[in-house]
Amino acid sequence: MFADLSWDVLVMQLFFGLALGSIYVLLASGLSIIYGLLDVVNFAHGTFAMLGAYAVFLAVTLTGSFAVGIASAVVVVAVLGMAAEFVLLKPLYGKDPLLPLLLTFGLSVAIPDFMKIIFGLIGKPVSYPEALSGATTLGPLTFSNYRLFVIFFTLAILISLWLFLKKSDLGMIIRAATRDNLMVQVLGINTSRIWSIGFAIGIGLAALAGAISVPMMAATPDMGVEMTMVAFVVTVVGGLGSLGGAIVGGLLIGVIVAFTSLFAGEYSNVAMYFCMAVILLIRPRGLFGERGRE
Amino acid sequence: MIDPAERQKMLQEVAPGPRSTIVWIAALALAALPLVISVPLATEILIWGISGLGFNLLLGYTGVLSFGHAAYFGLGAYSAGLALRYWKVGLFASLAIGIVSAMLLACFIGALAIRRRGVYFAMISLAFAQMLYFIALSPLKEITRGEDGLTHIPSVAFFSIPLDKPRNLYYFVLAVTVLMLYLTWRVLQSPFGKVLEAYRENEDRARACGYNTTLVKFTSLVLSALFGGLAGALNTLYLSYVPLTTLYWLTSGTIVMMTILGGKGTLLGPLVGAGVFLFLQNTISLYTPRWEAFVGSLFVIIILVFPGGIVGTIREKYMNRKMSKLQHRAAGAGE
Amino acid sequence: MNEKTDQKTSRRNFLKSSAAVAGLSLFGMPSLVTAAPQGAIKYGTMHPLTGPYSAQGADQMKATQLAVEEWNARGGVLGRKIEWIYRDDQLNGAVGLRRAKELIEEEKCDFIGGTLSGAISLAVNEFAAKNRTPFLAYSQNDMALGSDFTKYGFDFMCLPYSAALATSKYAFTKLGKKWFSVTADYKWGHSILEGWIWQSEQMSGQFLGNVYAPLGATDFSTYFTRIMAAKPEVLVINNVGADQTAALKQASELGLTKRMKIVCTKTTLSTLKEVGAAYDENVLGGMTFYSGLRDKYPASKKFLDAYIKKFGQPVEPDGESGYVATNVLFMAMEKAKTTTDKEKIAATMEGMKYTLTKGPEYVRACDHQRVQSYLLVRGKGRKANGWDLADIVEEVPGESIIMSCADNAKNLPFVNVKLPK
Repeated sequence: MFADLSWDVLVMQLFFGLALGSIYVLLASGLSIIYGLLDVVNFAHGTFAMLGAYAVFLAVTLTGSFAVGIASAVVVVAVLGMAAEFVLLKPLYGKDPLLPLLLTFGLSVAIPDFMKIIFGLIGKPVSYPEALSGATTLGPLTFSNYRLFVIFFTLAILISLWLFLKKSDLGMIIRAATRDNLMVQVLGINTSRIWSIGFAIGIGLAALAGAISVPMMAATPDMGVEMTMVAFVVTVVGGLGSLGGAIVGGLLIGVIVAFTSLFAGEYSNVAMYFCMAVILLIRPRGLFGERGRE
Repeated sequence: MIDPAERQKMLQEVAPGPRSTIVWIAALALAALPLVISVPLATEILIWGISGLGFNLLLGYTGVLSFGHAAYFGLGAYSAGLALRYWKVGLFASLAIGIVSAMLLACFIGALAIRRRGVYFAMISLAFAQMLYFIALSPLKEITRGEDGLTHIPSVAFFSIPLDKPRNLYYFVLAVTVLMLYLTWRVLQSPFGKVLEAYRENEDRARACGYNTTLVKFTSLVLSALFGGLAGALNTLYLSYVPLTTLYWLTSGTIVMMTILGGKGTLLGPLVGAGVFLFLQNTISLYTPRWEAFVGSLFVIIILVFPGGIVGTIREKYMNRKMSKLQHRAAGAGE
Repeated sequence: MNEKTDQKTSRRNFLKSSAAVAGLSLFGMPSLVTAAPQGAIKYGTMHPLTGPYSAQGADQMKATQLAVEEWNARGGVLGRKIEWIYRDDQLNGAVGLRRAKELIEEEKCDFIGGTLSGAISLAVNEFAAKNRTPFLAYSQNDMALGSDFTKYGFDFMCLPYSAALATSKYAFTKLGKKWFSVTADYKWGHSILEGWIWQSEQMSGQFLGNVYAPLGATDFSTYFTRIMAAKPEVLVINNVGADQTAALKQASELGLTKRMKIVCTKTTLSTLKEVGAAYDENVLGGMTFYSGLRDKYPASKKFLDAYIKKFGQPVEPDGESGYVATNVLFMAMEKAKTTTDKEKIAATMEGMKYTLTKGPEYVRACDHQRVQSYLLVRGKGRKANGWDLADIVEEVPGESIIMSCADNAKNLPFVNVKLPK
């Protein structure tokens, strides 16, 4: 099995795995932030990613620019997310903690159907942006430019996120609220607004994941389901509420799925669930999860 | 002053358990169901109702949300189907196999994940169900026939009554449903049922009282899987076919929606929920294929405004009226 | 007590809603033909109107509607009007069977049709045969083979292996002999792959390898490393729908479309639209029907004009199958001079010849399979405009891509083909 595979195939597979994992990281980190801050498991996470994909389609159709497309996708969907949080989730805080999860589940069923009504049943195409198409060759290795973009762009986003959380005042407040919400309130900060912002950031990350994915497939109403599942699996592996866990978990799962496709293609989607089962057996709180939070 | 007997009676009125008469009245109502709606639809309502009863035991009474109940439904369906097709077993054997396999799965998942917090467990259960789905789809497709589903399942007979006639099957399923309903009622009345509710109300306090809360959760999970596996096996009999979608996440989601819609934590909630959900799905899809938009939106509204579901909200309204009546009486008696 | 009242109230609610349903059923569930009086022929169909193939399901439904309306405008069949009922099978086996039960047992349909999923077609076929009701499948399925064949089931698209034989023959003749495939890991994909491998052996093709992708895969980059290493002349894509869209988009992303020709054994208008400019001159797809045929056959033009006039856009091949199926059913009734003798009507459909949407065709008597041509279309890439998305490069005659009656009956054609693990 290994004999017929040269090293360049393995390196390229690693590359593809990291690109795949980058999308997973964006999804899982958004979910993690939302859970860490609001204690809400966002079952509609993939649905917002799907909205991001459609937003890119609309923006690219109107302006022709992919960059504008991504930026507007993130902003528009994040605002939608904030609105949803305000109208639908805020009334549920303080009540049964399972209610927000159930509500987002309802959204994940209803919203795709509304998208079908508005946009029809056939998916919407978005071409790879000119500047990012083609490939970069290094000897026998060929790296598609778009996937290079995915990896580096995700890295840039993560660094920005880290800087924001560690260095900015708002970031510090968010981190504090994640640790101890009551204390932050006692200090006189309006946590309700913090939560809205945190939710928007999480949703923005999801929208980004959807936006970057869309040239590789098409914007379809049902594309969000699988993305929600992936976000869940990576979060379980990385540890609920841990951003570092989302990153490591996402990349790890991406690479594992890539190599499973190479050796046993038909198992590639079982592979990630298998990882999750293994983690549960040997380290239930996830790679970076905090004890007690599980 | 209120005399103690009076007070006892009032307390019973305020927080009663359902009486067993409910079960028999429900049975009668359901027996008449095929007269108003189609027999296939009625049969499906019962089958989903049974899985909902089990799910409700876990969610409504124990307070644990499992988002992967399709795993028990699907495993029950497949094992019953495989047994019927390849081992040529009879009716009761197939149901038993469905039940036992689902319960074994629940033991496995429970052992791995039951200690986890509520939302964590919900995510894990969903991911496990997905894993089962993908395993049935590809790696095990020699056995499960993957995408195609399991066909060529022979029909069975209840003693001498053939169950491939729709009406016969309906009344058999009805008998099973009534039995399970009664069983649920008995469990809830039993000490174990009370412990479940104690756990739901306040886990820490229940533990402080000396109950092994992990064991409680575990037992509840396995019990709910019993219902799920049974429903799956019955579904196989009903369809003479096992579609892959019995393991799909939307099946889990449907069970959740039906139970919440009907009213979690109520005895009849799951049945009512199954009925309303399937009826809505059936009726709306006659006018537009976009029934999910409606049912999903309805679900969101229910969560926001009527979290008790249909039966729960009705009971609450009734309780409020009862409470104010009691208060009047107490005020009057105190003079 | 209060529970009793709950029960009474919920039962009351339930009865109320049930009464509404009963009332509705008395007036007949919505059919797009106004409910005909007693004496109408009842034809019931089911399509995946929700789910990933809802676009194709919708076309199935619309084309059936067109056919029924055309016949009713001409006075129906032998003086009897047609009452058509359709249902959503949600691409779900359980629901599909429930629809079949409803259509046959509750609605008392005399004939049923539809379905898109091969698996559902097989299950419904089995059920319909048990109830002695003719079933007209609109899908690619293996109903004609071996033990799945029933006296009452007919298929109006094609066998999966036919699609494979048509596309592979073209590929090996015009595109190159070295080929590699990506196959969706379920029965349909496997049937297609079998056809390709068999044809490859017949025509001295060089099979370089295959990767199985699970159904619903969205990232194909991880499969393409193998392909790039193998350096085939032809890349064969054996999947449909969103899977195919993703595969093609990512193939173009990785520059594969410049290095090799890509052949999609079965493709759809939806995929052509979704893939956009990446579906270029190096990508070919197979379909049973495409609007380009209007320039070749007057029947195609007539059918397309009527369909576009009514629905505003061209029809998917799945819809065209439905149109032909519905027409053949009524034509058979007229020929057999009966609208009630189901066995006689079924017997008349065997061997029936007609020209409806393409050239002259027929339904083969021995296995109830419509024998029709298979088209290869080539993408137009950036030159695509509106619904003008592809050029037809070849129409492969139906006779050449279907095995003999004996072979189909024994499920033989590819029994010696060893599928790769």
